Amino acid sequence: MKFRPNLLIPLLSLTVLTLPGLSHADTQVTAKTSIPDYLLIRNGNFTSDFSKPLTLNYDPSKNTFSNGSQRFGFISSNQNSYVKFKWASGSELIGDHTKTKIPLALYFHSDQYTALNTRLNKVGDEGSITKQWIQWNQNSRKSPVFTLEVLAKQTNTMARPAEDDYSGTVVMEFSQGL
Amino acid sequence: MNIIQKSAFYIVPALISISPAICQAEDVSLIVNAKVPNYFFVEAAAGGSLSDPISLDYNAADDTFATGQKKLAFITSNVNNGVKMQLKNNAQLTAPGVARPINLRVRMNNNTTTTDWIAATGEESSFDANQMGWGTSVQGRSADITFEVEAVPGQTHPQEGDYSNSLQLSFVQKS
Repeated sequence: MKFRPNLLIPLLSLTVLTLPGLSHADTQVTAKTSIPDYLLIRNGNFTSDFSKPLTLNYDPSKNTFSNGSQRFGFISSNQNSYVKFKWASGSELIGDHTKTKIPLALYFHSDQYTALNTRLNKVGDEGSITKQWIQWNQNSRKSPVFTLEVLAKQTNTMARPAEDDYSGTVVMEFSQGL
Repeated sequence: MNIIQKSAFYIVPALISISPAICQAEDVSLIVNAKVPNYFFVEAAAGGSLSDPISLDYNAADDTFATGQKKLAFITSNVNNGVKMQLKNNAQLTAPGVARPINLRVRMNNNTTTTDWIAATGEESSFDANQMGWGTSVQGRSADITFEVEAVPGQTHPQEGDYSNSLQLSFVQKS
């Protein structure tokens, strides 16, 4: 059999391609990532589920509505930031049948810091959780939990709501303050 | 050997870091519900009390009893309804040791018109919704309705005694 050297070279190359660990070539790989400045809005359990309705129960004997409340926690990359909040929309509840309206007010407060007790009386009203109150956890990057209470304004003794099922959507805007 | 090195390639594990979404400002929508049930009740008008007795003073010279009254207000979630009053027990006053009771009759007065007098157990009288003055003063509240009670005419010269009774009245919504 006649020796054919041009056939040997392709066979050797194929072996190296399928077993790269056999070679000893050096290479340098650079890995990088960029963490942007972020603020995450979470509920009291630090999940993003805000789908549970807040129910305000009416007590005819006292002519009062109970308050609805939603717990909020925040996560941020920036431990020097604070959180601003604004009542963006949804100022009232509307009756399904009667179309009568129950005006709302909001009350943002903290279990931990009694000084934080901001009442929002109308859409557009703003408030903030200052750095003093936000107290970011340096490891988890989480804030303490705060509470937003939704109040029916029609709780004085001079007005009585009509029988109906009322509903509405309150939209809160949260943003980062630096 | 040089040929082999130039042909080799490496599969380099890539380190992928997924950064959280940038969120400098975010809206959170909260669904808010309120259920207002059907409610209806009566209370004494301002300054009064349901528990205060109503006195029917007897005038011996005229042989007449004064008409007693109490101002009521009705509270409701449904101002499309009127109010029906029903007498649930005997409308009469009795006194210890006195055989003859004083028979009574009752009605409602809205300051413009009155219902019929009722005196027998189970009898009813009523105002329609448009006679209740709903919302005249405040939302969901009637105008003051005067409950009137008097001795049925014709009962002359009653025997001396301290007469009393509790009248059981039922007020219900009248659609």
